[in-house]
Amino acid sequence: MTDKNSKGFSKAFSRRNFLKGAIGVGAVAGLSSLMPIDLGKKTVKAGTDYNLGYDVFRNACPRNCYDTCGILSYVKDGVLEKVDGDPKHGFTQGKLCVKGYTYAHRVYSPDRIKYPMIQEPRGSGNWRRISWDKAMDIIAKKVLEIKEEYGSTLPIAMDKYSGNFGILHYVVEGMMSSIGYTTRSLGTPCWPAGIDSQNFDMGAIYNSDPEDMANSDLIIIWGANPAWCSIHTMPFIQEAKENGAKVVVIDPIQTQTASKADTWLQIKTGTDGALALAMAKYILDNDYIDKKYIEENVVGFKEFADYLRKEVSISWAAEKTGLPEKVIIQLAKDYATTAKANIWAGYGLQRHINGGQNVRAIDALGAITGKIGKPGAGVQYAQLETWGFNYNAMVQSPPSGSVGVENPDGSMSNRTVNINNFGAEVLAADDPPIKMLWIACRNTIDQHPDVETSKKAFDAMDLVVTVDQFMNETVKHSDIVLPCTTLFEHPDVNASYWHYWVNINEQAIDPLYEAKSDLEIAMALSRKMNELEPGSCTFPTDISQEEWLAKEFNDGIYDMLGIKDYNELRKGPKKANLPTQAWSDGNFRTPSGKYELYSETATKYGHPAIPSYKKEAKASVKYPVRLLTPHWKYGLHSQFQNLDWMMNMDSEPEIEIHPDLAQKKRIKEGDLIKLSNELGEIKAKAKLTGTVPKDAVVAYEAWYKDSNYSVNDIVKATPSDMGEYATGSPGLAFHDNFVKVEKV
Amino acid sequence: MPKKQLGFLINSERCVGCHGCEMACKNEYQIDVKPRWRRVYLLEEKEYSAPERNHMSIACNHCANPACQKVCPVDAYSKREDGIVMQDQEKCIGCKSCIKACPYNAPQFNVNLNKVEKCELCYERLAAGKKPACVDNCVVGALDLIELSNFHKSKTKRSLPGFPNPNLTNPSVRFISPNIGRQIRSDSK
Amino acid sequence: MTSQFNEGLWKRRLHVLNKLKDMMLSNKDSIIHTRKISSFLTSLSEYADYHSNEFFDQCWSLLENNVQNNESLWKEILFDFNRLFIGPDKLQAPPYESVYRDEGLIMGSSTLEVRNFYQSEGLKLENQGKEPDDHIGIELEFLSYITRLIIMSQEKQAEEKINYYQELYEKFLNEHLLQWGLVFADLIIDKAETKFMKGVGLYLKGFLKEEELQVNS
Repeated sequence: MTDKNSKGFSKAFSRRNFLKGAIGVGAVAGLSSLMPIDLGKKTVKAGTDYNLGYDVFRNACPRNCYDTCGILSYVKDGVLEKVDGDPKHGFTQGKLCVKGYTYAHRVYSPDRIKYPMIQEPRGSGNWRRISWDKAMDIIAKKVLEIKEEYGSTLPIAMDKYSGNFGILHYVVEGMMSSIGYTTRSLGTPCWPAGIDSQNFDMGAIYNSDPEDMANSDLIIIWGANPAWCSIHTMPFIQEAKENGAKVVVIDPIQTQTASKADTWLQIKTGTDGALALAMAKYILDNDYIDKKYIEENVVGFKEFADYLRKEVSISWAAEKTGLPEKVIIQLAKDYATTAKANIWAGYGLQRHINGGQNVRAIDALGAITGKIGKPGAGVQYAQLETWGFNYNAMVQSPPSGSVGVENPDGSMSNRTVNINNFGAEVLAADDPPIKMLWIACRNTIDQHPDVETSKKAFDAMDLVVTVDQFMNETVKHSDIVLPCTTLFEHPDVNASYWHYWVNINEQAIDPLYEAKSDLEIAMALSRKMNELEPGSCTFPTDISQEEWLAKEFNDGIYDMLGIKDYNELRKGPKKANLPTQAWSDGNFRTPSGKYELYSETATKYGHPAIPSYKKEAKASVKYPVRLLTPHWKYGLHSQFQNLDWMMNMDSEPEIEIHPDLAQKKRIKEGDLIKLSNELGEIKAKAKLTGTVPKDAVVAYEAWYKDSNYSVNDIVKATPSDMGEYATGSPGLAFHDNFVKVEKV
Repeated sequence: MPKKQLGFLINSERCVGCHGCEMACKNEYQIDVKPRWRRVYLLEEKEYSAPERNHMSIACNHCANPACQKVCPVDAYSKREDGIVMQDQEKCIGCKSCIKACPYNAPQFNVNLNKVEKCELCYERLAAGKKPACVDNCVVGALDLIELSNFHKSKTKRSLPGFPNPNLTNPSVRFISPNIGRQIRSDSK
Repeated sequence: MTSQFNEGLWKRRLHVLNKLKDMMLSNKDSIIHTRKISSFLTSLSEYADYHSNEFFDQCWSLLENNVQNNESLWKEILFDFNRLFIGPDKLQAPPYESVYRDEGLIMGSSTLEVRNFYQSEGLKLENQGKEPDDHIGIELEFLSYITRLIIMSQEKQAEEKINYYQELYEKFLNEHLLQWGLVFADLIIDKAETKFMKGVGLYLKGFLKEEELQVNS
């Protein structure tokens, strides 16, 4: 630290030895928080010495982000003074991002939730502190009461998602399993349609090493915005550019990434499938297909080709997408004739009612040109290859005799509700109804579409418990809030769903106040439940967090990382020794073992067997303007934006609107405008920009401090076409949402 | 023999306006909430042939003719041999004359200390053989430390649209303009 | 620094410091136990009786609000206390020195200075590292500890020690508590929703103003 911060402040008082002894003892009796240090031992250093070296720890950013950065934490006197990127991380290369650099401000924000607290009545704002023991007592008693009344713990529902993607955080699921059969939110809001597509096509989501993008000659970034959402991939794209590669961005918005591309195609929102199919048609018609690859690796090419010939034409696609025919043709030709042509299929691309089909059509391009599995080429979406841990914390058995949903074979299961229709399904649940919610790693009310319905669901509960770090709408509508630790305050291990590196997360500082990790909470609940009713919870209570961490590792992971002991990760993150190109061995994980252009599995879920065009969503007369709600650059969902450093740079939400549209509504820069539809309305200041479509407005999904602004007040829980196969529930068509725009 | 002058190269073609450099600076020095020693500015869309999101990142420009030094009534500013403009915060009386004089918003007011503070080109890091925190931590490599007496990069400019006239104080920064990519709009009708 | 030892003043200080620190460190359902309310008010008024200032004048009607038998009023006061100092929402009056002095965060450099101060007297926070050392209650506890040492030194006629501890009291007050305590008290006065807590804020302000005068005269 420089002198600047300490200017004008005093140095500590120097020590005087003669003050020990009898006089001190009596005074010590009056102390409650302070205690005498055993001066005999040399455990504490007297006086100030701020030039002591730092203790440096390795951490991993556990947020829902492609990059999962390697972090170095600088701790002095038990205080995290600052963070830095870990230079040993080959993907994030020693750098964090605008959010990561604020971490010290997150850990030490005075607004952090510090103690277990209870609100009576719910929603009143009248909170009082309770001890952990009391909190566990209330919760455990409610669990047992529910079990008594309903004969099962099915009335207890968990909503959990991506607040922390550290492996040990799957303990929340484990904790729920260990009390009995419960109701779980099933599925994922972000990326399920594309997951299904890639599962139908290839049998799994499995992207090539993103570092390989540096070797591409053509990179098509389709419905992704890495400049905001995966900034560490940008240098690899840049490297490719510097070696002559061309970058094409396909997106309705001139995003930050589009601003760095050679070409930006402003496609009409939701028509991406048409563009991909037209490109495929061109490739077919002009004999650019890779016959050998298709013969050896693809099933269903004939059916797909027939479909293209019958249903697809460049002129049709030009009409649909709003892109000129010659542009479509040029793109197809460039793609087909460039060996190292890589497509990055983003998650925004599949947040549509036809999102899954969009991705299938794009995947098909890689298949018919034989680019899948080739250097610098392929269709990249996501991967879970590096996530093969043991999930001990997650896999727990319910107490024997537990009653759940009965399967045909007599075994029992949890009940599920669609995570993407959570509020409505919680309200509709019957036999038994849902009476209690456990929310962790999730901000249901702010981040789930249709805020009103979520609130109604919460209101109908007997007890809502939320584990969190800062106040938000979900906490506001809970009965009990439990303070959780930040990544610096507990051990864990992290993988990425994009790059191939695995990172340890060391505990760098003590948990603040009374914060506990999700793992510690599980053990505390188990202890209390078994105290009240022995055997009512199977979650192990006598294992330390570090031991839990050690138990996550298996031979598979060790082999993959080339280590013999997980402690080796303390010296630096390790890269999985997977082949650089996914699917280079042609061993697809589909039923046929090949790339399935024709997918039987898809038909089982009500989809056409082959990638087909599914009509895009359109505006109505009443709600003529599309509302796009992409990720914001200063936050990750409802995290970070509320921090003081972030608020200083970006203090209020804005709605991006094209000047032409603004003029029609007589809206000027900075005017307060209102977006409304059947669900409700939101208001924010207008920002006029030509980077958005003329028929849409862009409002970013982010949470602002001291504000209950949430785009989800007007986002409908419209399902996307796919998601059920691989993730259990269809996804969300976040971007197929329409509103009326007015000046306030 | 031209005097040594350290400064920044701001590559607005590479820059993605993420504000990582701003935050890396704040993190390095654990700066108070309000002062922004480095600031990222959006470049005006209308200055370019098509609307894009482009930015320039500006801290202190360590000018050859610093306005701050000129107006400071207590001589708190000085220029080092290597061109870094230093501020002796002890001397600062919080009169804010430098804030008014600087065309680039480099001096920032700290309400807790009632004094001004600003970027000092990470002189301690430089002494330890490191690059400034902003330069080191820019993920896309959009910032570089340069030595102007030795800097001959063609295709760099002395300013970008929105940057105050460099003739005022001769700031020690050079820019690479953003390229405007090809745009095919579906809504051009 | 006084050459004459004012035993009464130190005893009154001790009582006020103890009462305030107990309240600020409370983590029970009532911030003051109903049986202790009158002794709370007595300790506070005993000190105030010897010093007149506008803040003391203003606070009495707010503090003596017939709270004795009114359970629902005490509940309101507890919720107010939590809103001001505890959470879970953002704190209306963060009770930590470094929030006011070090970039708005806890565990700042002034926290570590306070920690070192305690250390130099052979004390440390039981929850060091988990709770900020510069919480108002702990700073008051430290001052109360020093005050007790002063009183005990007087009883033992240990002249050197009386002076040493008096200097220490002054130093800690000037270099720490007074650096933020008045702003903190103002926040309580401004943000408190109950009369009682507003009264506490006013009393704290009055007490700190008086202490500032006393030690610096």
